[in-house]
Amino acid sequence: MKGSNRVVDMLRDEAWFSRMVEDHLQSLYAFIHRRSMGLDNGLSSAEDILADTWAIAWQKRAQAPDEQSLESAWLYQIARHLLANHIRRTQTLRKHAATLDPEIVSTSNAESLHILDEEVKRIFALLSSGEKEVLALTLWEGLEPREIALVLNSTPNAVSLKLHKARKKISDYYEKESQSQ
Amino acid sequence: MSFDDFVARFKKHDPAASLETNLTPSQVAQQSMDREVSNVTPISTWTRKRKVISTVAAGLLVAGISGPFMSGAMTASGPERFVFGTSPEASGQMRSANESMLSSDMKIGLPYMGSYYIYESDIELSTQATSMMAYRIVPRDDAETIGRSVARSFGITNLKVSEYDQNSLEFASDDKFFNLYLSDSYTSLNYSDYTNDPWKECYQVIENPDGSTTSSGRNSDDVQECNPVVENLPSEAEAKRLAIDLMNSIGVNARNFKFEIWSDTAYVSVTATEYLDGRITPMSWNITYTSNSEVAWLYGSLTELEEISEYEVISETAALRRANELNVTRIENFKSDIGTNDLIDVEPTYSSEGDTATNEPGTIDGGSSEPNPGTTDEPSKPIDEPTFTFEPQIVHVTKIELTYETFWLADGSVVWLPTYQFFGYFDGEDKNEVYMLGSIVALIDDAIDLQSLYGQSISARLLD
Repeated sequence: MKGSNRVVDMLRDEAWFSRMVEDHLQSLYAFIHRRSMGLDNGLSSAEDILADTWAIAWQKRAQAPDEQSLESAWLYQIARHLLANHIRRTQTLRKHAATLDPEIVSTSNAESLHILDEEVKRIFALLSSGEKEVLALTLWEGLEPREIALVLNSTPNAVSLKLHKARKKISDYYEKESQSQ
Repeated sequence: MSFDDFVARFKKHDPAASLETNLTPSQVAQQSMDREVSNVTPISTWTRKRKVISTVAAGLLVAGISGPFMSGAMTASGPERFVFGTSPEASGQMRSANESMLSSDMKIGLPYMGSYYIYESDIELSTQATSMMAYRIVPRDDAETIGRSVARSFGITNLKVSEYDQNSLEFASDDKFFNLYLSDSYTSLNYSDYTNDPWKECYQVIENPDGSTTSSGRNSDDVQECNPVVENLPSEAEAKRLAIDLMNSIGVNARNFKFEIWSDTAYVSVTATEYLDGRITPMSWNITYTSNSEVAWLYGSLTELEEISEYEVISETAALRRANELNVTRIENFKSDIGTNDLIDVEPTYSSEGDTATNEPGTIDGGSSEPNPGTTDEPSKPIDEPTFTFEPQIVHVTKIELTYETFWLADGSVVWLPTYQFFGYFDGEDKNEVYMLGSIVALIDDAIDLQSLYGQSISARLLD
């Protein structure tokens, strides 16, 4: 076991990690920011979670995917866990316990997404938590189903089903809208 | 309008589209390699604080309400007063978001900038107090035993178990896969069976440069165009019956659940929500059936509950009052603390024409927005302190419902307590746009330590 760890350490050394940070720093920051805008401290929380994500990525580098194209999904997975912890630790208590702050609504990452366009927000609200998450990861992070599956610890098939459902719900909404006009 | 229009607008309004961190990759890499995750130092110590006004506004509404971690053990008959804290599990550990515990109708992105909320009821609220049972979630640490039991329910043999991390176990057999999460004292279950995936033909096998292959999803835009082949799809009634049988076989009492069924040409999806004493809980299951009534996907929680004791519950009228007192008290406390609150870091910005602060309207009043003719020749300099203004926003409550929600106690235990959920709409907006506004604990003042819950003393003033 120790031997295999040494091999990992050799392959995933500081140069490897520096390259990964260089490649993914901004996109990871954007990912976290989109999900932390509604949290207390906003950007400050995003930066703390960003720091934790990279620290964990370094500590758990042995678990990093071999395939470079899956690195961002792996990092999002770590960040998503940390966001969930952060939301639970700092806000879920308030939500469940007491607050009526409409901006504090859920421990789900997708539910904490901040959407500015009123109509998009209204339509997005029609979707389930899972559908929102999958759609956001597709449209904002530009991930494919197999990458999303890694982020969500799911399968590409389940992800595609959610995408299909989301697309159908949105299309149905527009169809009803056009019929009522 | 079409789905493509939605996509375009969604992308256009990306709140992080032009955002970049000031941190350099080399700085981040070095700091990360030097850090111990168990002893995380906030990144704010690495770098200067930012001047982001919108973030400050978001912080205002929640500042100062985090409760201190207080000790307090639960007795066999339950505590006289619940003392709240954060779960010890939450600190420094990676855990899965237990999505099955989430309310499905939570809404997102509601307005909050520069305002606080006053709740007014459009309906006649009850003044009748009542009582409800409180429940404790029994921690489970027998994931492998549970997993093997679940596997038997699915008829899985030759089960392989691999530890995923300290909070979950993965189980796999051929094309079947499931995992159990033990985080937060819940035991959540995710199951999938690739062989039953109606879209399995829509995926491509990609050959990697090293000769290995990867099963890849097709581009999401193509998914709708790929028509799955499905045979002998169960009826909605059959799917419900199958779901009940399956849940019972896994050890979940399906009689406590209410069922909703959603079907398409390729699958029938059953969602079961648990009710206790007629009240909705955060617990739900979802089972998706496809060809020949086989399960393609499932998620749920194998949480065990035990009764604590029955507690007095405030009336709907008192709940509304408690909500308003919370919001007003919180804002007042923030105003009094604002000079010393180090969470807030506001640096007024300056227009090029003079020395007038130009903060975001309606959020932070940094002074007059009109240039002062008498000072335009003087060099720019910061104003002393920005002042904060808040406008109350009326929220109309159209429905209040008693439910159960999850709380973490100071001793680390997890409980379900009676909670009022509020539904309504925002003043000046469409009455038909009803949101799930939020929730507030429903136990009487004497049964809860409000200070640990809110970080401040408030009361529902039950004797009014």
